[in-house]
Amino acid sequence: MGLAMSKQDLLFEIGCEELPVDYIAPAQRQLLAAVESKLNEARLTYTALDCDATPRRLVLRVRGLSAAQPDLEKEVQGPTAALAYAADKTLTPAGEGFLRKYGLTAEQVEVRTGRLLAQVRETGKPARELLPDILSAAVNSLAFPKSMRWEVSQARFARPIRWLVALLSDEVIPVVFGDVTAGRITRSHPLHSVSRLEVKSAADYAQVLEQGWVVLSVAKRREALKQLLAVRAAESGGRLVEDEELLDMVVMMAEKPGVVAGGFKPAYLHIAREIIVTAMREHQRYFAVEDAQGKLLPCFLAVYDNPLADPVNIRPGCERVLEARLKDAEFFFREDMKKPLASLVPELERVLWIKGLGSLLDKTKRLETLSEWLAAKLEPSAQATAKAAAHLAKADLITNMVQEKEFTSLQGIMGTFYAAAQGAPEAVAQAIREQYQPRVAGDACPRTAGGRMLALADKLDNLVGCWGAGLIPTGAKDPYALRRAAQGIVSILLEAVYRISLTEMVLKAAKGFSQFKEKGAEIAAPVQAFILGRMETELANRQYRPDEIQALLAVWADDLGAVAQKAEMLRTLRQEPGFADQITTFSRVVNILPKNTPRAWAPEAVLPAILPEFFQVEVEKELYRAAEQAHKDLNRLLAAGNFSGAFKRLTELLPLIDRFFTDVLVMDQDEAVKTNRLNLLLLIARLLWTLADFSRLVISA
Amino acid sequence: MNFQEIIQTLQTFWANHGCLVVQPYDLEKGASTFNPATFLRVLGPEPWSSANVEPCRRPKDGRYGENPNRGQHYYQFQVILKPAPADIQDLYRQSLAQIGLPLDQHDIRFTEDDWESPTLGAAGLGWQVWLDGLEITQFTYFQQMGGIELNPIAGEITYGLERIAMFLQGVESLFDIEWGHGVKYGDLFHANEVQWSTYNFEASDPQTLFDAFTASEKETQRLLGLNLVLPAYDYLVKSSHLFNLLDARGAISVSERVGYITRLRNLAKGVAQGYLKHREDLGHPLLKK
Repeated sequence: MGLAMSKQDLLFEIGCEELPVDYIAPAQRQLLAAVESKLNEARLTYTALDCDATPRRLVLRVRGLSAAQPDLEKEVQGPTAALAYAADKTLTPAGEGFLRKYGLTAEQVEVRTGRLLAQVRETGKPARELLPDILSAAVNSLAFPKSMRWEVSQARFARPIRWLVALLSDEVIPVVFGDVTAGRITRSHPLHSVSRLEVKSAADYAQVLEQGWVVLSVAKRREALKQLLAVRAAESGGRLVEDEELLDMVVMMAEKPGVVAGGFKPAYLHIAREIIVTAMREHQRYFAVEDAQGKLLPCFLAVYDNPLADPVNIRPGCERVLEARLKDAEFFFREDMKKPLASLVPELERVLWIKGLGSLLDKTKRLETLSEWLAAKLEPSAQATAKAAAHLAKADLITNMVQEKEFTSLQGIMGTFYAAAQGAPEAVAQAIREQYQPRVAGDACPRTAGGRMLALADKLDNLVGCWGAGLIPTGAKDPYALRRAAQGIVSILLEAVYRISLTEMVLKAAKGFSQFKEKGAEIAAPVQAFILGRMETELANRQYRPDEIQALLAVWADDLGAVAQKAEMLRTLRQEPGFADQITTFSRVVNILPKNTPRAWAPEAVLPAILPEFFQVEVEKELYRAAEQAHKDLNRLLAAGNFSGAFKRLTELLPLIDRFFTDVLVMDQDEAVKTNRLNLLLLIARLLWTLADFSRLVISA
Repeated sequence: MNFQEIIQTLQTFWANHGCLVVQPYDLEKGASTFNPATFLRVLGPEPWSSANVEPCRRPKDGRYGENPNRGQHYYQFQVILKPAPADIQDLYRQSLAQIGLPLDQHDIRFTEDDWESPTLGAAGLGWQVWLDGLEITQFTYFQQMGGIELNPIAGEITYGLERIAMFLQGVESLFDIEWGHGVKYGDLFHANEVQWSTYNFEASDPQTLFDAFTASEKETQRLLGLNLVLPAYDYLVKSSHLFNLLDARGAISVSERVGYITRLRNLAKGVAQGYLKHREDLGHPLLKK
């Protein structure tokens, strides 16, 4: 078997000091993608590629890597024939230079269109020669939210890189990064007595790590932890309070994880469950345990990373830390209860919301107006609740509890506790908690009407405020979480099936900002487009086809509830016989219009006038009358949300449209007649576009 | 191991690893980062390794001696290694073993922590080190000090001595730590906690503090103008502590706070730049020839 045919396994380990937990998974993905694309670029093939990680290492493995690039046949160009040959057809120095460069004989060169050309065969380089650059470039390409320098080389990475292992089968690939050159020495778990371990070949690596007390596989650590947590929870007399996100974190915090169970004084159980769970989770990364009825038990489960230790020795420390945190939480709670939330509201004036956008008190006032206005339109019975909840909504941000770093995630939740304990109506208290919902993608929307109004108002205020101040998300940077805000608006509007205009909401929200009151109209379009971007994702998640989504969002889509209903209508219509033919005719109307005719017409937009005196054929007049009548009916049907009725009404125009195309030549030589005909078709298109741009649907025969 | 033995052991350990055992600096400060052996020495190209115990004051953390885990005055043990050696984590682990921590029976974990001191214009990346879930050390690779990007990079290891001592001695309150010869931490400092908490939160005179702040801010600037960068630094440290006292007293509103921090940071930047120039003028005497 020749060199080019043999396959080898590659191991590449980046050994670091402990990486930040939430950097690891993205780094794995980036490393995989970078190596994959660089191998492809280098024409090196492989059978499998994977990347695993522990807190102290990123490990890339390539299986079945080709030992060398295949040879490359290519055509090379030389100087012009005039330059390469002298008058006597002998080669000039320029011509000889070309031959020398590629090792060619004169016979291998041809002249085409006045230029020297030759077919050359570039011998593929062995993988081992190419890999040092490929791998060091891949490491360099990793991007972290924050990176650091640590050594003379000034290299940057998330944390210091202390060793590299790169082996192609059993051969060291001398990858260089900063001051470190790759070899075959990896490191064991920090507690192992032998810290440096030799890796003989890529195939031995997994076994070496195992001997070094390192569980390399993320999936294996996760599975092992899951089982251990369940066992320890049962031993503590309860069951684990599942928390996948926390599990993902702790999996990245230990190379050989263990789980220790501990307890806290049952007296603390009178503190709200969320506070206890947060105190355990946010800082300590402990799991909670509950009984069969779902009541919290005075227990916790902590993950540790010491294969030698008897957990009995680790438990007391873990308990003491939690005790101190619960004590703090209890203290904050008691202190906070001394000051009613309502009394904190005026103090919000001292707290900046976002630079250039005033204080939290300003925000509070805007939320009061906006949520009351929204309620008047969407939930008239919740008007008073929405306003009262908005008044108190931000007050918990200056309570002792929420100001404490580890409890900031309790914003809203603490407001609900305090408001309820201080006698606010239940609906008001509930709305305060729900204002931040959905907190993450997939999180539940607010359950109460007041909560939905406040949540919508808060998100709109965030979006519009940031947009007005020019704090627009770019690329991966979205410091004010505006994508999440837009996603939240979409989710709430769709779940509650609210019918309201995005533009109207944005204009109303903008009015609340003294900083750019008059700019509302300017930002309405981009904010609407930004929200529609999220709507597109939402529709895709709901398994609508890309062409359906395009058809729906190409037209004026300002009312998301309507868009959702139209999407459903499209899905149903597609199943009906005759739909394909209907769409073909409708598309004819649209396709004859100038290419760049805008599809998104706001309801108040005025169409070019149609002048009956220019009509020349009877069918034109008839179609115009029918379209006008359909227009009136359509307005009524659309207002009632009867979209399939509207579509049906439009199909009644089809016979006339067909006749129109048969009897009339749209592109008449008389410019005025032609324009008038196009304007008539635009009117019909405009009626279609109140539903969707059907011409974008992909119709299979 | 009692409190003074822990300090002695750490001093000996780090002295054996090439550190100068410098002494605490004789000014009130919130952290050992304010010791010139840290703030000034990490600037510029000259190598520097030092270790020192440091009394620190954080007026806001006072709890009248009632909280077993918190005081307005406490001790740090500070190590600066510039440039940071490649085995700095191992050295740190060894130092813990030296003070009697059985590493094989406890969970030592390096948990991400991005350290930042807005007043000093300083930032670094590193970890909090956890001992069975308890934060016992701040471990940082300084990236920036006084607004200046550092090169070479210094490693900073800051041990929380009380927490470590409580753990080693198995006591539930910092006041029960044995300092030495049977004398307890509380015997020495409990009354201080009560009186200083009262002073910090209730009895300090905001106007006096405001005046002092303004005066020492001015003095820093004046001294910088005279190229007396080392005295200027002292006045910056004093300004910073006065700010902390005002903050604890509740005399600075949330919105004013940012302004004060910016003023302090500007002073720190001025000092850092002045110091860099000063060392350059001296020809960087600590650089190995």
